[in-house]
Amino acid sequence: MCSMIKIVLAVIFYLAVIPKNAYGYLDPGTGSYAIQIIIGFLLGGLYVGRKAIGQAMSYFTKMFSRHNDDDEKQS
Amino acid sequence: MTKNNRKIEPSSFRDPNGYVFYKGNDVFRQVNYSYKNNFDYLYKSGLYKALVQKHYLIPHSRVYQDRSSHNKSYVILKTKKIPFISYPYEWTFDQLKDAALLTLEIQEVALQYGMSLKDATSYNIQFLNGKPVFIDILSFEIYKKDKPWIAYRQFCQHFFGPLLLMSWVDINLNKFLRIYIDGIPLNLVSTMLPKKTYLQFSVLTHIHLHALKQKQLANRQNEYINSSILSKTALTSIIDNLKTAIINLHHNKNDTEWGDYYTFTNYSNKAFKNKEMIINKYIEISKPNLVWDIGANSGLFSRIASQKNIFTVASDIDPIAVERNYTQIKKMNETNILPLVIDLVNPSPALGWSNTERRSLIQRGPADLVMALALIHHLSISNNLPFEKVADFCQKIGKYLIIEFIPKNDSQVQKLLKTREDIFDNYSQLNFEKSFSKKFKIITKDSIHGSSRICYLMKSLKK
Repeated sequence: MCSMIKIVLAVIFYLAVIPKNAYGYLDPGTGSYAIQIIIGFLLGGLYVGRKAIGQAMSYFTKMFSRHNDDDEKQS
Repeated sequence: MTKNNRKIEPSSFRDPNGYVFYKGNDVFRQVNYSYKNNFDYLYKSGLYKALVQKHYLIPHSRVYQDRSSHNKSYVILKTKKIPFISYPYEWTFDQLKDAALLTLEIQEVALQYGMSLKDATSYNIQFLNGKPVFIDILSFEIYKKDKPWIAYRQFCQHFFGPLLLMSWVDINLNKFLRIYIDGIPLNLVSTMLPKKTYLQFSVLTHIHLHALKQKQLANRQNEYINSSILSKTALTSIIDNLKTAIINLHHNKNDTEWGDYYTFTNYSNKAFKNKEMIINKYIEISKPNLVWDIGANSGLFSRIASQKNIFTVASDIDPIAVERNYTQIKKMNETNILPLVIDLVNPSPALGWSNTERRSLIQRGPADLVMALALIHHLSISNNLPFEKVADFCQKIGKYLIIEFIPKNDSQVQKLLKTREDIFDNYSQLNFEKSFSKKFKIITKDSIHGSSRICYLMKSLKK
């Protein structure tokens, strides 16, 4: 499921990166730079997203286990 | 090409920052002043030490440093000679995979130290002590913050593309690297890969969409893209994605004609042991420093030499047999044997600019000893090569020769003749000895007990 989402996003971003200014100059590296930006944005975003979710989960787990400790102390 | 007694490496002209040269038996690299800042940073940052300690980069020692800037040369470095130069179109799938993973590992480490690889060609890698090692110290540049990786396209063409073709289409397709000396073009890789690879994120992005974007932007320079930012995190994610994709690649072809050769041949245990003993004796007589075992299969007899600490190149036409050899080398940490995929009937030619950048197989010799075991019938019968031609080739590539004659009544020869007319009236032991005696002196010969085959030790008549 996660791979399918990544694939769909990759295609969307690929189509979205449309050159604005065109010059008559042969630069075979431009395409490679463009695709890195697309992939890097996706993967970098996923990495940051995963990290954020991980941190959030860790926060809630700690909060929950602290709440349980307080309940046990009171009873 | 020579200059001040230096023999300059012909393939070392593309980088204006320096070049490789030879003096005597030693290998040197001149580092020019144009590379001074990057070179000094490579050492000051600790990256050089880190890479050498991990055995990723071949060690270099400084033999000369010019502190003025009057001369072009800033530093001269000395480095270890690679016992046998090999090329990616001669490697097995796993050898190319390990070379690719090493390149990515080095890029990851370089980024940690504030540097980046400015090129990712497979010719930066050689095999030393059984493992891939990076040899081009001039490939590192100071990392330019938030810039895309300049070597990304080259990595895809030299490594990821060929590996995908070997995995998905045919295990021999790294041979395309003989035609495309800067890696296989991505549009070609994309066309040849099956459509289901579009459903794999890494292949879709690094190959298919990459090829399309290259085509779309081929004749344009785009300020929008050239000024765009690729953060270090994003770049590291790309490297990591490529690494994962390559680690998960495997070749599927398990059975080839020769993969199980030593299980289903006509050597009894007794014959096998006798052949081993004969080869051992011949190696002791010839005392080689470098052995080429041509037709080595998975390196069974190559190891008689390599386990005596004699460096041995073990080549065979069958990539699966050579792969088995490489797998054993990795498992047992063997250091004196280099397995390669080579077709003797069409060996690697000289390639590149002026046919001097990549040397032919013959140019990388001669060896002290050539081993041609269980081979003559494949050359003379399957490939119609007269004995004289085989003898001539063997003389070109080696000083001593261990060669096994397989008579016509041998079951392997009978198998070859089953589907073709026997036009080989000259294929006899007498003619074999007569033809080879024009190029070699027959030092000794031994029949292999329990088989009809005969082993010879010969010495080239060429001075």
